[in-house]
Amino acid sequence: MNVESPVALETRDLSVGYKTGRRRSTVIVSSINVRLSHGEFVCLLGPNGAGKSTLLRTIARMQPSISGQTLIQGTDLSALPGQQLAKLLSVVLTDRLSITRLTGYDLVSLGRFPHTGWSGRLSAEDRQIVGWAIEVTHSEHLANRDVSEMSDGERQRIMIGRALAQKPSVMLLDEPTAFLDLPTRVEITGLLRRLAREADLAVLMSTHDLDLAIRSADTLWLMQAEGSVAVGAPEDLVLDGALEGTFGTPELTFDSELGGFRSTPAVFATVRLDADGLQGLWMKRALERSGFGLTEEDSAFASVSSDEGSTWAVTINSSTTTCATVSDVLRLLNHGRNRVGSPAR
Amino acid sequence: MSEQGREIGARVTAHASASGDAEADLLALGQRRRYASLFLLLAAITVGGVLLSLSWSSVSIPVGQVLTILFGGEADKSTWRVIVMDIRLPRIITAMAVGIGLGLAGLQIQTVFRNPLASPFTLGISSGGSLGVALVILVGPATLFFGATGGGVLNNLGVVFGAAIGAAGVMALMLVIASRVQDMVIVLLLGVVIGALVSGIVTILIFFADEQRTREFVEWGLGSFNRVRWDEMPFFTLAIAFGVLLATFRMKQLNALLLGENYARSMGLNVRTARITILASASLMSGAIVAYAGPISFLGIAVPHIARGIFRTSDHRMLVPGTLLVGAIIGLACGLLAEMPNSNLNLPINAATALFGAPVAIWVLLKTRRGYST
Repeated sequence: MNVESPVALETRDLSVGYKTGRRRSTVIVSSINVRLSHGEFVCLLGPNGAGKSTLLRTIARMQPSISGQTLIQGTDLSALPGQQLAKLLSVVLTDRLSITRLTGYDLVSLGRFPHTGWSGRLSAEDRQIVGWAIEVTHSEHLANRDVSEMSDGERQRIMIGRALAQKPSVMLLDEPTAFLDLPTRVEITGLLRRLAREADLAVLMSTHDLDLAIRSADTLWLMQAEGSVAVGAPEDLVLDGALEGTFGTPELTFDSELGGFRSTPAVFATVRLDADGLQGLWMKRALERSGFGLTEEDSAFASVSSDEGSTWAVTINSSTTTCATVSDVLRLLNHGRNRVGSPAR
Repeated sequence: MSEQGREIGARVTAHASASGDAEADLLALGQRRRYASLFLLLAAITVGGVLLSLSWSSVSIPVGQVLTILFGGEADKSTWRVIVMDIRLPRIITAMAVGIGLGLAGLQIQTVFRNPLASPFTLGISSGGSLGVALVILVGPATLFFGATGGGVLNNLGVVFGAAIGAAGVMALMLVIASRVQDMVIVLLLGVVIGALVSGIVTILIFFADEQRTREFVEWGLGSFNRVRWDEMPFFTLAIAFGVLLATFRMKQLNALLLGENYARSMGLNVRTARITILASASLMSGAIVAYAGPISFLGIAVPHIARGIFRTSDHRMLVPGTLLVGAIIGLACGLLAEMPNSNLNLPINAATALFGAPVAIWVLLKTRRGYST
């Protein structure tokens, strides 16, 4: 199958790392061959220290590569003059801003830097683009406000507007959702995804937010512990076990159905669960997190079944008790388990 | 979202759908009018300040007479012409040039170092100038310093050269450091340390110098707007004008640097070149001022903050011309205060800058309530 949108950025045998001395350098990831297309929203995932920031900074030419090439719109990154690169690529970084007395509008206008003349005066066209960047990022309410008085989420939104006003083909974002609350993370990720589509932009963001990345990215770049990058649709990486292989540990299981990780506490006792639907699902989660393994066998320490009228029937040693809430069930089970004695590992 | 924010948002969107181009013009328009009226007001105050300074000093000369003299007419008293043209006018030009130069130097240094307390002093430039002058006055041969702070026609020269060479030496050192060291906090700290080192040497020189020479040096250190004569004026004003020109051509770069060096670089700015030219412009102006007027404190920190407070923006396209006007006005005001009109007293300029500048700066900082939070 060969239905590809035009490539905005690609790497050829790129090795990234950092200099440790005059001649020596430490390679973190080598032989990276990845592509970023117009209209594509890519999330860069990987454990801490796998080199997400290093790769991002190398592609943005904020640090030198160890070997290999990065091509942006077909031109070698290292051959581009700074101003020309700025017209092709913009960034949102984790650097803290320390500006006061600057409005959102002024901040977005700064994105026009590579396009304006010596004085930085905005032409009618520049102002139109700034207005557009504010509009598509839904930050009209931020235009007249001081940047120093914005919340983290608002500031991230206006910084994305600034990066957009640069009118690039590629936008790189270094963990733009860190420090944000969950609804704002979802909003910002959704915004980036929409921008990729509407502005035909190639968007690459690094993130720790696995769940959100799986739900929204077109493609994942997964930096693996052994120093390689796995590329694919999120679903493909779930199915072939790459995600579990990268993040999974003995204490952490990747739930391929839910698309997220959960910790695996030691099992203290087994319980037979007889319930369906939402009730069954959430009781299952409650039991698992409390350290009860689920079993189908009769040898179980207790059995839990959902009654009519949304109550629970708990049977321990053939005596049955009715419980109104999940928390009552857990209390009863823990009480019974302590009486039985030592945990059955 | 505040009510106000929502309303502005609605205005912007409404405007966008109505005209289809230049969406945020509406937002910008009110602000531009505000800026225009502020510039007009400041320019008017500057002109008024010049006329006031020309007429009101130890001897009062009516403004009408001052204007007659300025436009080449004959004044009622022949001495007035000499007072206005040869004493007051050079002093006023010096006062404005000092305010402008230190203000713009301070503005640029504060932005490049991203530190609200940075100034020409923190870079050690003034200390360098002091060392040069100390060497001339305290240990040089007597002919060099003879009449350094008054009298003769050519005798300023030794002091000016001493200050210029000392300031240029430290400034060159700081530029080399700034081009080699990435971290601007380190550069700033090195400036402070070098300044302290240089001041230490000056202290030793004072300790071993004789009393009369020490007095000359201390007097130089108090600063004065009366030292620049007409034959020296072209050198002094050219140095300041060149620095102003450099700053004007760096307004855009200064704006990019507001976001920090990483963002500035990502927008295509050659950070190293920008940093060096900006510091060169700041050094040139503060070096010339140390040479011709002495190590004048405070204006370098206060003027940019006052301009920021008045214009309520960090946009250098407003702040560079704004600082220029505010600097000229504050320079004039300090000169007027130091002259103590209608008296025969003369305050040292460094006292005047602190006495006048500090309350103004406090008022502006408290009124706008927000500082430069980090």
